Amino acid sequence: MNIPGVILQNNMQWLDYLLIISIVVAIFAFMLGNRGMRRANQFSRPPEIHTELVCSDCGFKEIRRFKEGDYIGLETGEKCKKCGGPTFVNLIYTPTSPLEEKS
Amino acid sequence: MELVSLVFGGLPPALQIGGDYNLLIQTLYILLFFVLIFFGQRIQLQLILMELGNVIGHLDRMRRMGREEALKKLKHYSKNSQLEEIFNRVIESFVIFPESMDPSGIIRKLEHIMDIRETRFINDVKKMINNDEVSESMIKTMSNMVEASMALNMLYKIALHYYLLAKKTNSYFIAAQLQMQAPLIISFARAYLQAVYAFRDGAPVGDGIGPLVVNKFMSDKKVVKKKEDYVKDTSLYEIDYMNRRVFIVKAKGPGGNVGKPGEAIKKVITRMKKDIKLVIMIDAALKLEGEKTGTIAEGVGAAIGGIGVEKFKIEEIVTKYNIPLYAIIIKMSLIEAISIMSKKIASVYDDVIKRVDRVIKEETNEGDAVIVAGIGNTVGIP
Ligand SMILES: [Zn+2]
Repeated sequence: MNIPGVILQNNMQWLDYLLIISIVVAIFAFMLGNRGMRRANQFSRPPEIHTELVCSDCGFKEIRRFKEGDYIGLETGEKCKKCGGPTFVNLIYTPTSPLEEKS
Repeated sequence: MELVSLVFGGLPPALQIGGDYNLLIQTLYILLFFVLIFFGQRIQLQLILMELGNVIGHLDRMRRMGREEALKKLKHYSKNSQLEEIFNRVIESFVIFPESMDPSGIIRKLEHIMDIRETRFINDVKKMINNDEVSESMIKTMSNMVEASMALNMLYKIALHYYLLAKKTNSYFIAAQLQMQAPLIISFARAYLQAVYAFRDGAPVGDGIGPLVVNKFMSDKKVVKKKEDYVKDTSLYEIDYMNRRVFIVKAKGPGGNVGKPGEAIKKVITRMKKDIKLVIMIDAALKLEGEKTGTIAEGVGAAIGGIGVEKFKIEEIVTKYNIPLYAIIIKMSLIEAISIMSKKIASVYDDVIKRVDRVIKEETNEGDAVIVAGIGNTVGIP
């Protein structure tokens, strides 16, 4: 009943390979999909925010964690760590861009 | 052979003789061939729907996170027991845009509608808080936060609509369309969730680079005149710089707010007429993929986003008095524009100021008047 030429000589072995390859491909695809989801979740978290304080007297820069109520130009009342002069908020930023790819 | 029998639990003895076994496999393959021809699309549809189910789940998570964050912040300040009720009503509110079949006068109508919307929105947030100790700028920032949470809700609802529609109609093409859009939808949702965080904390967003530049531009110069509410939510400063009168337009900070820079520019020009020799606008602009965040570019025209009302006003007034209109843009992606300003963006303000200096020097003479407008959201930038 064989149709000559259509059936591979060693179809047992051929099937074994096919099975192994498809299992490997499936696992690979699953891992790839999962990785995408994990990366998406990572972007859903709030970023770290830094406040850059600058001394009005000596220009010394100090970076600390952002506190609610900070805004650009605010005189925080915190003393300069170097000379004790008054400081103001120079910049507020997040050190990591939300788009930076981490693989 | 060994592996196949292991997986399928061994074949019936009658089939283990070469020829019959070949026949079975052959039949199976031919069957599979026809199954794929006739049901291939169905199978594809199920696969896509499975993937979209994940996307919807992810959107739903982000929506709930945004909502919880916003509510938590509001609750912290609120003295109203019906906070959540009002919140739910506001989240579902909508705007009907004016009819554009007869477009004459549509800008005015559009502005009117948007003004009402904003006033109503702010009033609703005030009602939610119901606390006189909370400052006006805080209310504005919180209303921005509610808006971002509203956008998240809307994205989820639209995506869910198409997902369910595809499921209901068994339509491969509706599902495929949503699948094509899915990466963009997810990235928009991420951006809005980041916006909720930014407005919750009251920290500057990427879009605030325009106001940041003019804030820094003024900080080491003597302000001659200052009008905080020159037009609604927009401040005007006047400085004497390089023997030129420089008018600075910026939305009023540090509350979250974009103001009406177009209206302010119009008012200044209407008053000063041809004495204004140049208008420079500084704004954040969307970058193309592959462009670096924080790249500065110069051009001409009105650099301002939004629904177009302010842009129209600026273009009209500068055309009327034949005043050159320059634009300096700072490039970033959407997610960077509405999430907390990244260091890459914040650190370019020096370079932008240098460019403003150069343009003023090159394009105007001593004694001229110039308008410099910093366009964008002023959250955290007074
Ligand atoms: Zn110091």
